[in-house]
Amino acid sequence: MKRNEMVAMLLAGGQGSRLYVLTQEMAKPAVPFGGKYRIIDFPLSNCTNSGIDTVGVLTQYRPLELHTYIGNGQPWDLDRMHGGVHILPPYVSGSTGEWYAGTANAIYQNIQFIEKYDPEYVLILSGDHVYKMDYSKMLDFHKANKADATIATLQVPIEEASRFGIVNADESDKIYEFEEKPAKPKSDRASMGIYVFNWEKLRKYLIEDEQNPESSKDFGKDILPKMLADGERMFAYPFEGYWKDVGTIDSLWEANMDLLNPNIPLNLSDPAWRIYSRHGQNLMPQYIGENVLIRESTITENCTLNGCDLWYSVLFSGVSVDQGTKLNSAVVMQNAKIGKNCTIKYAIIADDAVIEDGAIIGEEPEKYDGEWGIAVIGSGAVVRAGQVVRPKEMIKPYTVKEAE
Amino acid sequence: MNALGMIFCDRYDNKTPKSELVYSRNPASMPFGGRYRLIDFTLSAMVNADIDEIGIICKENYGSLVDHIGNGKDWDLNRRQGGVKMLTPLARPDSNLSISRGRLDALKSIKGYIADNSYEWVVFAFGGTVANIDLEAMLEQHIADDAYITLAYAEITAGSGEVLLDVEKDHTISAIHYQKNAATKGIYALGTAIIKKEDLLEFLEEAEDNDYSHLNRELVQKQLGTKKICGYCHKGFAHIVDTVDEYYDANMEMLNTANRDDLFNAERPIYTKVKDSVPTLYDFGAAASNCLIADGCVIKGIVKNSILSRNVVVEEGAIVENAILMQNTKVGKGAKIHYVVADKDVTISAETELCGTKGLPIIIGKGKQV
Repeated sequence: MKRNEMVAMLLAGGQGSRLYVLTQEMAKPAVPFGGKYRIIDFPLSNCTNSGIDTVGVLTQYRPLELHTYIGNGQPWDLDRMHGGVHILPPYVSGSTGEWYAGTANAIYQNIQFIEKYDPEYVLILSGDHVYKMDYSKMLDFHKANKADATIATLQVPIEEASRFGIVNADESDKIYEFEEKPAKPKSDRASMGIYVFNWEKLRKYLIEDEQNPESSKDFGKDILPKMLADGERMFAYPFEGYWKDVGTIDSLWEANMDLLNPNIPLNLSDPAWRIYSRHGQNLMPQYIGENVLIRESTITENCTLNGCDLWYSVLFSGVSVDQGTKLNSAVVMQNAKIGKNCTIKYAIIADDAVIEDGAIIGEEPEKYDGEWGIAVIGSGAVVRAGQVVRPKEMIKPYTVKEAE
Repeated sequence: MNALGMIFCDRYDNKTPKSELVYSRNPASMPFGGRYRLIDFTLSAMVNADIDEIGIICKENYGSLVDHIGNGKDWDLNRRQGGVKMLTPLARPDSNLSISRGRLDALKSIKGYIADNSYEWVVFAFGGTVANIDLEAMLEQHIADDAYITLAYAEITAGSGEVLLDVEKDHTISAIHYQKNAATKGIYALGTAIIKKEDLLEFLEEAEDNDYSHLNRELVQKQLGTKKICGYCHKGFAHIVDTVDEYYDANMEMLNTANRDDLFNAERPIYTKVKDSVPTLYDFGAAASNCLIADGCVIKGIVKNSILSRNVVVEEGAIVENAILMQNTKVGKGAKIHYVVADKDVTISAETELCGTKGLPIIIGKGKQV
């Protein structure tokens, strides 16, 4: 049997409750992003581009969309004879069985899967972030330091550091302390939730942790502090580049807008580091009709635009926008239909939503007195003609916004 | 559909005015409509009719086609049983087959392949026809008519070398003519035909014995009156892409919404090779009207009445009008181009002005720099 040096385990079971209506029907990693991607495309493509060909995807919350999307892993080149992508949902064994109780428990329950490949290292990833990263460089760093565990870290502005799990390390990047969302952070190195472990070591800690009734069975809260307390060699890998947790409506919207900003280093068209995705086989090129004004926007296949103005907007496939409609800083997901003379500003319109003529959705922050936020229209929701959806308002999936 | 599909990728008549566009590929792999190759229409029509074994008959310049088709996955044709097969030319010194004599020689050389299959029918088609033909309906009519062979036709405008049909009310074809003049409107065969496999094999035997060389003449024309030869009317959009003019016009017709809706109807989707291009980015200063634009483009200038394939870049101040720009074309700052067909990897330098006319678009060959 071929041996795999490093197996990746991707934690994709999170609900992403702070994405509200967008994750009502699907797990967070399946949330669409950037015109033709889903969030999980980033870690999966990173794996492929880093030469990792065995990936376990741990799912739990509303997995249907995610399972269908990953399928046999072919779009990411992960349909392999040895390894490839495997979906690992919680399971029942004999008379017992349980949901994944925490991130560490999720891996613990799949020890058998990892053992099958007999890896030397295990890479733990989460499906919540938009970033491009070469995990093989992180592994090199891990090996060079003869580490037992390596945590990828990102430099964040010190004033924001209290929102993150902070890693304190010496000049040689050796970790001496963790601080979870510290009020007074000692350093600006935030954990990205990406870990490399020596498998033998991790296995031991997972089994021990499982025996401990006090444990919350979480990597950040239990496994890593325990390893540090035991004096294991732990290092902080410095990552440089774009990284964004898209766990909130605002951050998801911002990350989409970042794609339009040439000054932000999130280049998805780099042929050397492609982001792969599963997309329609039968989509026409976009059709741009008469009198369309487009400024700093991205548009993809099968969109139809007629007589509309687009400013700073991201359109997914199959979106149609009709005469007289104005979009400003909007993210419009697959197959949404937008009618005539609508005004849509600072909004996320989810897939299959229908916006009827003359609807007004969202507003610029500087022009709104109330509590401002991104307006969100859920999947398949309908906004009737002339209706107004205020900033921060959310229309639930498959509901109708109409005159009361 | 219990049929074997056969696609001809080349013209064999040598009458076709060769253009620079087919120097680097065969007609079936000509790029079309911003993201397709001509063969996608024929292949998809077969796949949509549940034909799952398709042989692609190549004569020359088939490198680009082989690259496009790959293992057939994008058409769901990577199968254990059946799937897609490239049938490259066979000319053995011990046989009297030649590569370029005609479609009939090509069929003779793959007689074994046809015979080995257990299908009842054979559907053959020309990969250079742009049409979304409902092959299931065509077979239904073929069976109802109890025909020997049924040819698909459409009322379209086509030019020299194409086959005109006289079709009677009961679908039978009473005469066929060859268009010798400039393009006119008429009832033209689209290159798609259905015949029973046994009948085709029998005909091929006879063709070998008598050293027939011309498929249409021997199979269709000579048997008019003795065998029941029928026509199936394809009512939707159709275009036989032949000359450069035809190529330009057929592309431009895709800017018409009704034509697109017909050709790309949701019930019989057109499949093509999937590439992972990013969505197209429109920068400040971009304007587009009446354009079909593929993914991966960066548009900073003005594009009008044009078709842009993947990864085309239009720099600031550039004006692109009535143009077909294939993959990776770069239009430099301030360049102005009208009525231009640019093949793959063409670079048009800054401030260049190129002006063709409707009947005579400027053709720029693959990889050239202007």
